[in-house]
Amino acid sequence: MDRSILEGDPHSVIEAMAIAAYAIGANKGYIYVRAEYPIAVKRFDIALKQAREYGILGENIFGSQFSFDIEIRLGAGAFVCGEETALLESIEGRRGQPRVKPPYPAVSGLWGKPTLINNVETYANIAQIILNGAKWYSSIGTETSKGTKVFALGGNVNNVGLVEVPMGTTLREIIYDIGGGIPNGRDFKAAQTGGPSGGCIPKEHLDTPIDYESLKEIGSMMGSGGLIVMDDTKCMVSLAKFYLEFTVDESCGKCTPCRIGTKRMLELLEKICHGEGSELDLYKLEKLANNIKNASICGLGQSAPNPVLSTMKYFKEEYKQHVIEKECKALECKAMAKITINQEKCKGCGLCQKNCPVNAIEGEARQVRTINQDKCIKCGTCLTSCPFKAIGN
Amino acid sequence: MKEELVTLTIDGVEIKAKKGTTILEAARQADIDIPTLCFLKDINEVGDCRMCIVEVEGRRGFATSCIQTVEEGMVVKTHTPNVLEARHVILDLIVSNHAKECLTCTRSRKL
Repeated sequence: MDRSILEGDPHSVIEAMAIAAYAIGANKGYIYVRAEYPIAVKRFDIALKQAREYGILGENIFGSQFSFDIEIRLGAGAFVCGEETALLESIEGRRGQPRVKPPYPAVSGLWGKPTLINNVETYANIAQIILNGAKWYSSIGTETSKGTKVFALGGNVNNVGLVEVPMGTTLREIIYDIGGGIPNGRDFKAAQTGGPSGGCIPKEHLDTPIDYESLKEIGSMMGSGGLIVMDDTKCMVSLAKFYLEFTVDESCGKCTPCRIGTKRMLELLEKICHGEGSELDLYKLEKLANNIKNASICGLGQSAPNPVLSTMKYFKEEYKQHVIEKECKALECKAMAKITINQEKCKGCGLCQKNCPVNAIEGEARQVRTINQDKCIKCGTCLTSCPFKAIGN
Repeated sequence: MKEELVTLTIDGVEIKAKKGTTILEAARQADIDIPTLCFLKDINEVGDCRMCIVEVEGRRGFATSCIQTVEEGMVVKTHTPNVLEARHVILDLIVSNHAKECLTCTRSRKL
């Protein structure tokens, strides 16, 4: 979303930053952009040079007393540098570790000076608001969230890509009207908003009008606008594990709950997805999640437990199936995949029994065979040796 | 020059502290103990371990008492059930990563 703005409309950001700088009396601005976006960097650089040529940036702009210029700073691959104070630390040449807030950047920011820090998408709205008026802008959106939002629609949905919609548009409209619905005739299961910091939204909330407040109320968040759609072949426990793998990797390591806590949560999820979990593990997971959320210094740690908490809230049955029945109904957690012989299709040839490396298949000659689940190591040899395709999971 | 004093409440006790004092210092002056691990006066005042967290009325989440300075009218609670549970979990997490050789570790040797 932000990258597409830097690549496609960089001047909207430059203009907004100059206006904001004039409003607060700043003379220097920075754009912090991921080094993984070279096209955005190149184009923004060109736009900066153009702006300087036109006299929109530089000393004594348009003959006034106001001077302002912008510098580009590149990130080095850290997700945590998206946190505002970690970003400031990074610009100052230090390791991208967040600062304890308060004081907030508006009071003590870059090099201790009052700093205004906003997302590129926020700035991109400024020129239009000033040209068309605040009333015009407020007429779009909801009570608490005005204007539009860009979403990156992806996953199990027919039309993927960036979509810009007014705040208050429902999930159903985005997924079905714009996204074209779920492909392959499958059913909608959940949508994840806010990426690794967000939560999943089940069918019952499809008609929620999307805005900052409403998403928080149902246990998710807006984040930068990621919107991943999932169909009924997705295991929600695996999903939580997937997002936690990311946050564990990206944790800066400064504070105890995020550095150690997310790792312990991941270990519990791995245990559960391997079929070795218990109900006590579910209790531990939830307790850890709540405390990490409350005690972490920055947004990364505060939101890392969101995928776990929201999947536990809306898909508790799935977690229980994983730990009590040791089953993954979505068939994604391979360790718990149950291989069974279809009693109607089985012709009693015994090939599977002969090939099984652990003698887990039971049954007399010419009789229908069955698999002893306690002995089965889920290698799949029987599956591939059956000439009648009578074995599956 | 008169030092500006701030009045705040910690655990129901009214305390007057100089402006710029942290909640931790103000509490300790009043004999209210807030646990810390990474705090070392003038050397390490960073708020990393999260043990000193406290609840401040009107604020979301927890405040870091070793860094947060006192403000007029602040109402602080240092031992609510949520704070105690969070501290317990944090200590649990630190121990989960610990070598646990405390009985023979040099750091536990009496000087």
